[in-house]
Amino acid sequence: MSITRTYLYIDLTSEKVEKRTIDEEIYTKLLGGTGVGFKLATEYLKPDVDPLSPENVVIISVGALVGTNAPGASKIGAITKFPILASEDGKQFIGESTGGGRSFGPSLKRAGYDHLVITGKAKKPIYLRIIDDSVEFVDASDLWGRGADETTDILVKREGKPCGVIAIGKAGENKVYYSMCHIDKTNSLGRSGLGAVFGSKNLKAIVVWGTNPVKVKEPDKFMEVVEELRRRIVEWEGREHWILLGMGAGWNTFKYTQYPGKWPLEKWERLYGEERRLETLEKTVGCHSCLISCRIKWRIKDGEYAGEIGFGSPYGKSATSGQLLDVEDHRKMIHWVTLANSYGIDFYTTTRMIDFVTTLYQQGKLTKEQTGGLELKRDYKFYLELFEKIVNREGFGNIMADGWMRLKQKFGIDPQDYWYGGICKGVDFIYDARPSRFHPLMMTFFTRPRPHHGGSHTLTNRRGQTIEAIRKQVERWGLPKETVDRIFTPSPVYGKFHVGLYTKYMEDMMKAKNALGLCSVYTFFGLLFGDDMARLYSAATGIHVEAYDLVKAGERIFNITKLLNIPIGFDRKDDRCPELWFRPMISPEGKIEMTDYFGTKVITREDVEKMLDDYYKERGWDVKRGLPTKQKLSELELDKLGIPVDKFLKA
Amino acid sequence: MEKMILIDPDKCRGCMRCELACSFNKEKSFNNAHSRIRIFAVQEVLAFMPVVCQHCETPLCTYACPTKAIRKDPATGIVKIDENLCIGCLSCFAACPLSGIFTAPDLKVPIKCDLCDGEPKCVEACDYGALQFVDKESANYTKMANAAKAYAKLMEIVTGRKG
Repeated sequence: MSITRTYLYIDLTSEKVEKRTIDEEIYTKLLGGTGVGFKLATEYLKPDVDPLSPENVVIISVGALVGTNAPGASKIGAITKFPILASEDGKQFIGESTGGGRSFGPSLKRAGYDHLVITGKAKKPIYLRIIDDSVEFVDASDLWGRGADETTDILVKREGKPCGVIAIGKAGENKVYYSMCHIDKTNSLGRSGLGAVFGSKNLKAIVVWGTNPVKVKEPDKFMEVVEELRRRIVEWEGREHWILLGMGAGWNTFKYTQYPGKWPLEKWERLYGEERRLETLEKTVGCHSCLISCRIKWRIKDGEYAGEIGFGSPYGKSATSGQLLDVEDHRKMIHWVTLANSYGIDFYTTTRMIDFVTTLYQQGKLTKEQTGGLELKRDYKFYLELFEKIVNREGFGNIMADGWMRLKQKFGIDPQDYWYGGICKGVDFIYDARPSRFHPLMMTFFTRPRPHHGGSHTLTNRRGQTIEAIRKQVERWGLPKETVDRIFTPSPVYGKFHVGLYTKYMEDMMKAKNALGLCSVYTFFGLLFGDDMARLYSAATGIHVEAYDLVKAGERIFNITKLLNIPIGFDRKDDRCPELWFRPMISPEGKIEMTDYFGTKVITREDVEKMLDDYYKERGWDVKRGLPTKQKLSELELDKLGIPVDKFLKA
Repeated sequence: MEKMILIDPDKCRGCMRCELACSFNKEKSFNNAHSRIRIFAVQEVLAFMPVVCQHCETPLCTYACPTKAIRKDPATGIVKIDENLCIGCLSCFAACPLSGIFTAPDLKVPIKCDLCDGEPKCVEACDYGALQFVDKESANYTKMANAAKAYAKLMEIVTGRKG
């Protein structure tokens, strides 16, 4: 079986380590990976916990197929209570960060574990060393202060084998609320501040290696499915371009869907287009078992930062933030991404907050008194100075390090006034629904407890798909025909398909995909369907499922996630579509309004509220409060999995 | 014509699918620690180097082996370990100039590539073109073509000019 049903309970305070097991029944209902991880969260993670206290828990889960050669099966997830402030009154949500990687997931699986449950706080900076059966708490005082990338290099070389490493940088150590963890240097557990949770626990890194085989229950059947998928993926016409540019591919769509609306398109193309990307791109790097390597290794070849190299996916974020901040030299922005990756901080949030405050300062809406005497300038050199202040929590940077909601608490500045992306639950979205249009990924930004796409990538996230192709992908989630028909019944409210209903099933399917540890790039391009995932999972685990069983399991996982957030006080008020999206973007390319996917109609606040009503209805939830009902939860049999449903509902 | 696994490290993306295919073929499970081909990564720059036995004309491993467990088949050119004769002394491991022989403590004997008797699964699994199974004569030209490309890239970095 490609699952071990085993996890490590690790208390950093007492240095107690225990190996514990999970019933097979739990896997049958929740698949594995983050699905089972959320069940563990109901046991170990107290919703009212302070995210940066020793009592907060981090659950790291490895997808059920990770370790095998299923294409793109490298995904892990980290479940915790995140420090980012989700509301003015300081609510903080529970959710999961997910990411692939070159070694961490498979190495942990081969060490014999599906999950790590980490709690407590180490007395001094340490790293966790998990090598097969051995678990050690190792002094990390020589690593504290070092970059996430450098830490990874040191640990891999220290072990002398291709170990998996999760590491934080200075931003996590200093508990910046939007600091992140890096996986194997190329991937991240980003957004909302997992890095700070590690930092608060004095946990600099986790290094892991294992030598146990990962077995599949029905090897012949499994390999047959893998071969079929492999052929499909290798023959995909977009593969060559994608392998060349990785996440940097697709400029010709990107320039429209992620257009910040400040520069003319022609200028953006000249300064940040594909030609510029190719200037710094060295090669793409794949995650474990990936056929369409998308991670990027870059090298700045000339100018002030010549010779600098970095890993990850720098092009989208540098291009949008470069335009927002009026930085015309792409190499400067790439340098900044390199720095941000080393410090382990969210580049989107950092750069957009800097854009916001420096502009407000210029407009006189933020004063020198408020910034503690700091004069906010609109130039690159100053941006980096302010960036350092955020990472090190110095002066005004210390306020900014707490994220968007702190600006509101401290200065009465409304983050909803920011002009690109939109804010929900205290987090800026990486896309803006006006140039991107109102498709399901946009909706899940405000319906998910943790406001990030969380790997919810389907064909609808790309422009130019036919309604038939979109429908075919949904059909292959195994939904009843009646449901598919309802999603695809046109209406004047939403256009050709119902984004609200679609989002519900997409969220469930994608929760299942994450639990399996499969990568969302494959679903984004329509290379991997629900029925493929079901066949892979069945052959790997011997637990026989159809596509629709995955959706049902995903629904359970989604409901558990929501359930964990009820005692914190989250409800429909928080699932609010950003105001920004209803204000047309006034750009040099003209007025851009939020339309449906096909650009046939403008989507209004009423339309969104109607879709949201239908979304909750489809979930079988209380439409007014936007929360699961007791009836729905017993229908999902969560109580039978040992989840104290009433306790969460009553709180 | 005798064939060989030709390696083009520049094309390797470090996806490890060759390791997974090898371990699955040999042990019916996925375990990088059981693979007869290994991807060595230069950690700081993530440059990848596939390492696998090249079935030498004069295999030092065969000379090092005290029990003659490791032999080159004169007909196929494949260098193989006879597990029944192997005593696990690792002399072959020490003698190999390419590090193409690996230890696998739980398997009791060292492990190495046997070209899957002429149909290497690692090569089949590599969809990035980093591994090719070609006859030794045409390997020259593929290698030269790769070298020419690498040279052009190097010149581009050094001079900052394209083409």
